[in-house]
Amino acid sequence: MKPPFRTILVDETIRHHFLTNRLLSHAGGVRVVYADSECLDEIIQEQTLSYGKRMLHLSSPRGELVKPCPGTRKPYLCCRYTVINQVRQCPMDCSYCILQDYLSSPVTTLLIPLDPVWEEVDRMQKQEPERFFRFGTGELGDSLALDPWTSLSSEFMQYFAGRRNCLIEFKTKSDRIENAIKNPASNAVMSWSLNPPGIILDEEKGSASLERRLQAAKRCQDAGLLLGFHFDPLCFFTGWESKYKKLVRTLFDYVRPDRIAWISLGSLRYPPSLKNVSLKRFPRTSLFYHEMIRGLDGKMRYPRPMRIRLYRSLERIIRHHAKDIFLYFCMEPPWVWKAVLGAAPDGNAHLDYLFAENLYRRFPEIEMDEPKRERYG
Amino acid sequence: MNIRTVRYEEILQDFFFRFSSPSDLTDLKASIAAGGFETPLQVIASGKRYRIIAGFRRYEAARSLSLSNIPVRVWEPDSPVELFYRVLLAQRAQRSFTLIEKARVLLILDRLGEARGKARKRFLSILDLPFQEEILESIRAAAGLEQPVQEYIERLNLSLKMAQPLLGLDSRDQITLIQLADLLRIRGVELAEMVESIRDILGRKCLSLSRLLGTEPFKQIIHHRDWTPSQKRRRIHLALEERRNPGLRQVNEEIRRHCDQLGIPLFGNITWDQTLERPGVELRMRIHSSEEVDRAAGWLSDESLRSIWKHLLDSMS
Ligand code: SF4
Repeated sequence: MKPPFRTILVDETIRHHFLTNRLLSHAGGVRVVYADSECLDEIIQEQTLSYGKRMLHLSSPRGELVKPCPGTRKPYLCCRYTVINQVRQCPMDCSYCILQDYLSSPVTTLLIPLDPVWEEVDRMQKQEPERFFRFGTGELGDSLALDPWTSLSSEFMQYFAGRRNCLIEFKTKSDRIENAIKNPASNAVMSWSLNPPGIILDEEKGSASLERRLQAAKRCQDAGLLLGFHFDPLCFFTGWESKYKKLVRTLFDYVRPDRIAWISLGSLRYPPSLKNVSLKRFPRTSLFYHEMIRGLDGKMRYPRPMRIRLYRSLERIIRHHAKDIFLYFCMEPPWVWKAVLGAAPDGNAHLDYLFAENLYRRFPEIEMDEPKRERYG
Repeated sequence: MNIRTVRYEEILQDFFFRFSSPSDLTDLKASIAAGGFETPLQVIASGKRYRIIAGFRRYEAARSLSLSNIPVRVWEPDSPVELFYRVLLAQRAQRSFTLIEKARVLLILDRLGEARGKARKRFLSILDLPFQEEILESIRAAAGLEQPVQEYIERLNLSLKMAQPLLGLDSRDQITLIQLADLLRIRGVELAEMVESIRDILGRKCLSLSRLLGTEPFKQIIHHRDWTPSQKRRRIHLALEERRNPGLRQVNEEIRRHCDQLGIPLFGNITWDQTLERPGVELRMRIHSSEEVDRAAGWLSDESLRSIWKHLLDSMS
């Protein structure tokens, strides 16, 4: 497979690390630049996003590697996910991607080594031994976009396999699952963001087609891995209702509901500053021209009645195929939950508990203690 | 480096280093006419001629005064970048640069081959620009705008943030918009908001701005004889909002209708979050006496109003 990057920038200090060597041995024909971090930073700052996305920067760790998902402000509910920011930026190019505006570096960066991540995960779990942690690597980038070259999923699988009271989620829009299915861990969730083929084609440049994503999901399911799906961002476009209906139907042609750990619903939302950045890079996108309001957290989103319409429609179709599926909303206030599902979590900690409870009840293969409501804030 | 006098024709006309827009020369001309040149132009030799690095206004003034000789300070031709840097530094000490000037400086640096590395960093710091290529690219684009748009940005001294929505329109719409902004005296944040609305409407409907403004109610508002610019501005703003958020507007109107039907007593009023992000309404009443308490209670428990309340709250979700 041809790597999605043309140049690899290697920080001198990790030049001889085994992850660096392994990656370089898989990336034949790519130009490699070794330099100190100051010099590499200068090269990076001179890149635009479109060029930067074609570079890979192997750097020594910087910034917080493992931390609670920043989520968003009250009254919007968040699920207390924990993010592992080992990879920052993404070689794919979605028009709505918040990273275009959020990260200052335009270059996809992989932080080496992984030991600080393991130490941090360990520390967090020790601090709250009775909580079930959901970790994920797909917050500041795509979990698997670079996996054929980095093989990070194997490292994560190995570390998390058999580890109690936690799971690791790989969130992706790719079909690069070969490493992941080699050593599947029972507490790993492979998850995909889904949108109808038209949106994938127009707005998710460089990502795998719907069919390839779903084929990959099926292969993961067959390998014994748990699955997750994120209908996020849900967008309004001509014919949205029938296209989402078809999308859900197609999903369940490929996978079994009893192997799905969760499904999330989240409608298009973005900080106001993203609009100009994205429109400059994707002048043909029409996503940002829709009726939008500035939410209570300052982010732009569809007006609440429209979001509720979107969610109700999706929820109905999903439930038709998978009655008892664990469904949650990403960054919605309790009143939206109530309007669509008839009930809402009491707060973020309660939502976190509901995740743990659902996993404990439905997936005995995950090694975890029975979650106690009172232990969740 | 030396000072000498050169003939007007010896100056190259490419104005490679010029980054400021032409401005009024009356005072400068008067001062040169009265006392001659106080400061020579800064030039570098280029073959047998000279290229100006600083002093474009003085040069223009000398030309319009028909002076045949101009005093220049000639610098080594191998130091144009250094010299340009010093010129910028000196100017920066007196004033800050406009967005358009910054854009032109970036283009000059690109042409000089100073687009990369540390050398450029010090230029960026004089220009108060971050070392982020994405932002620099947006700024460079400003130098390619149509002349009237550049002039408008300079006249209002718009920052990149303020100008960016304007840059998102096509060049014909940009010109139509600044004509409208001048006509109605729309400035600053108000202008930025208006451009945002316009861009959404045009993007959604694939319209041009002149076509949009040719439809009602815009046409009528713009050409109305009795309204002041500020009245027109308010009306245009409302009309744009209605076009931009038709769904929200419809729901809000429905809520308003229900509120009217409720006939709130005691000068009470109902308010709600017009973005509809927060559900529910807020009811305010000022109550002065126990009779008024009874009236308010009676109104709140009035069975005949129940269905209106229900419709009102339902319409919010
Ligand atoms: S796949 Fe995810 S991280 Fe990558 S560009 Fe798309 S939205 Fe951004």
